[in-house]
Amino acid sequence: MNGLLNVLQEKRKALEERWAELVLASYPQQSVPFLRQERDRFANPLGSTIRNEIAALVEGLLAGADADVLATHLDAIIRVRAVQDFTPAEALRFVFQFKQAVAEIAGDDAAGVPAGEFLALHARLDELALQAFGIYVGCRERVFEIRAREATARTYSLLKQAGLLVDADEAGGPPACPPAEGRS
Amino acid sequence: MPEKKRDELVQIDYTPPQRDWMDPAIDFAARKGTWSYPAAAKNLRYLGLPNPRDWSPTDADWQLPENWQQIIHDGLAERLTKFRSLKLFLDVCVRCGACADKCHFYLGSGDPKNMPVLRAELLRSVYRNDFTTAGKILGRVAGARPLTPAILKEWYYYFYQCTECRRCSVFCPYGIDTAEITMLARELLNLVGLNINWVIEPVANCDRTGNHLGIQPHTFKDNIEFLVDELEEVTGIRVDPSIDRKGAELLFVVPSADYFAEPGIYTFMGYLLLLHSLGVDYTLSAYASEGGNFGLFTSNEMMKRLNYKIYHEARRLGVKWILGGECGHMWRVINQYMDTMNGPADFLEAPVSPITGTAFTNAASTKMVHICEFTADLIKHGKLKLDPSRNDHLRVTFHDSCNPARAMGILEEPRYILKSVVNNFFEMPENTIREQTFCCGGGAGLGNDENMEMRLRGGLPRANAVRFVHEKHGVNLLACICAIDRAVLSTLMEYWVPEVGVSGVHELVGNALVIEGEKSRTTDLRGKPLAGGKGDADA
Ligand code: SF4
Ligand code: SF4
Repeated sequence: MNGLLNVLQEKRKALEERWAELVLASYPQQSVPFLRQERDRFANPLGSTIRNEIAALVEGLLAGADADVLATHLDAIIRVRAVQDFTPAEALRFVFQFKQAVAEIAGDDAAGVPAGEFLALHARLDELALQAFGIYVGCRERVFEIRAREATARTYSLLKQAGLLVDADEAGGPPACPPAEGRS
Repeated sequence: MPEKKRDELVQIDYTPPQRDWMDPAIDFAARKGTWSYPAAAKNLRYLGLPNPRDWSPTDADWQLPENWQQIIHDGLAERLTKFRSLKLFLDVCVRCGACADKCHFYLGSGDPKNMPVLRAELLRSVYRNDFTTAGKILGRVAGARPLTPAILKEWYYYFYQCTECRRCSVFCPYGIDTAEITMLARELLNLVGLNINWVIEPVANCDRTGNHLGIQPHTFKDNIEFLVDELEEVTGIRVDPSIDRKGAELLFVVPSADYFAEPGIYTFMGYLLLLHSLGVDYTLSAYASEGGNFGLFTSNEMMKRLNYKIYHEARRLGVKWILGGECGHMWRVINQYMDTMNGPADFLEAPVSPITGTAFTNAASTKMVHICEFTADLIKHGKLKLDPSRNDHLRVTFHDSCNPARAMGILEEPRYILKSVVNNFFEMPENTIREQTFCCGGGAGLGNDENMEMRLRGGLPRANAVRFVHEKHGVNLLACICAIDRAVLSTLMEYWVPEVGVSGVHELVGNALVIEGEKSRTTDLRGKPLAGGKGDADA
């Protein structure tokens, strides 16, 4: 079995913690203690999401999980960071911070590990990063889709009020549905 | 060498550069998606509000009146004498931090200035500087800051990032209500023309036509008729709501989204079916055609001005009392302010249910009853024939909307109704419901699309709890009793938990209600097929 993965498997908890720490450090300093310490997942959805999903990613990466399994956990983290105060680079930096966490946690225990094993792990991580890129773009698209949907709904209401719309009814199709309205 | 390889890797520093989070300069251009567009000049002009002009927060010059500092100082001085609560809230905070991690915007963003205590501190620091001896002498040491343009911009940013939901106040040992601090801060901002269009346009429309969207009486009538037709298609029942009918027993006031937009229209259909099936003598008003009151998010004077139409129409139409639909902040205004602002409504009678004879003593003074109180009472007295299996295609949870829950205490009635009309009901975790409920992130005028990222951040704590019940119990519907929620939560779910839809409580009542003479129902009010092709067992 792979020596590096063995070492990391033994120190999995520490690896998870370290990676999560690095991710949490991207938030304002004043907030890090709360995000780190409050363990109730409903009282601290941001901190819990990061900690739990990072743990799941570590488990998946070490166990050679399928891409779609990893994608679920990546998605949970990226969905949050995609709407926070981050540039795209800052939002996705966390993926690469895994390398730093591995290097720090493996420490001297990985002294005898052949370079090839590091490269293999990093290659997996590169795949993960590419996946992350796709997920991030998907989230951003979603934000603009729902914005557009709300904006269209408003215009639709105005046109309808002004009597400028021909109902699909009149056009012989299924009845037109009034759109969702963003304002009550 | 492997050893060398590893060391090289360690060299790489992935730590992000730290930003100065306490820097008061907000870069609006870099933070698109987290603020709302300013009010259009025409709307301010229409309402007679100060400093109408077209501008953008990204402009270097916000075109403030020359003496803006004085205006705000005087405005604060006036409000400190007028509202004892404000002075108290500004003085007594001991910065214990109990409220700090309770705001949904803080929880979703991690931005310290979204902590209620720091949000309030934005105003408090200026208050200390201008009005306290310690602040005047010690300045920054005593936490005092003179009001600079940068701080004013910070006010605009963060006081229009508070949904006035009052979750923080639940946890404050001194009962400090940061929502009220926000309300007063917004009043001050309004004095120099710093307001948002999503609030001011509905206010202007309400003032003119009675509702947020500017719907005129003929369109109001058309919309209602459209819904009556739709309802007939599903149920075979032709309901006959009257508009502006003098001498009706009840005036029924609803939020405008209920007769104009999905998914509120299905809730409206539920109301109509219910009132029709019981033969309630009610009328709608084409002018009191909006329960919502964005004056609440502008100033107390504006709130009073817009609220007045409800009593005015009740008097004009000669009704006995008023029934109100599923709206959130409408009930905050009615329950907490209407009586003192525009009451006493002694030309009305204390509300008594025409069906059960129950006297709604809680509303003896305002004369206005929440439809959930009305319906829960009907169910309690066995006045409704219900077939909850017609909602078997739905697995339902309930979102307590901030205002009915925290400003009114309507906690049991909607749950009692839901448990009577659906077979599959599941609560979200305790620390996310009832008084501790999490805001939708779009209240207080922030539910506009340009503010989407802030809304999605603020909605994370709510969505996180919905995801939990979705995964654990297969929940696919989030019911609530607020029109803003119905709109904002729909969007929130699209992003965070797309498997879950949103509805009002009376939509589900409408589904379950068995009415004499109705046709065998094959779909719910939305036209979706019922579970197992049944649901008409009792019809
Ligand atoms: S909980 Fe109350 S006293 Fe404590 S910091 Fe918040 S507002 Fe101040
Ligand atoms: S009222 Fe609500 S939005 Fe405003 S600071 Fe308190 S918790 Fe946050």
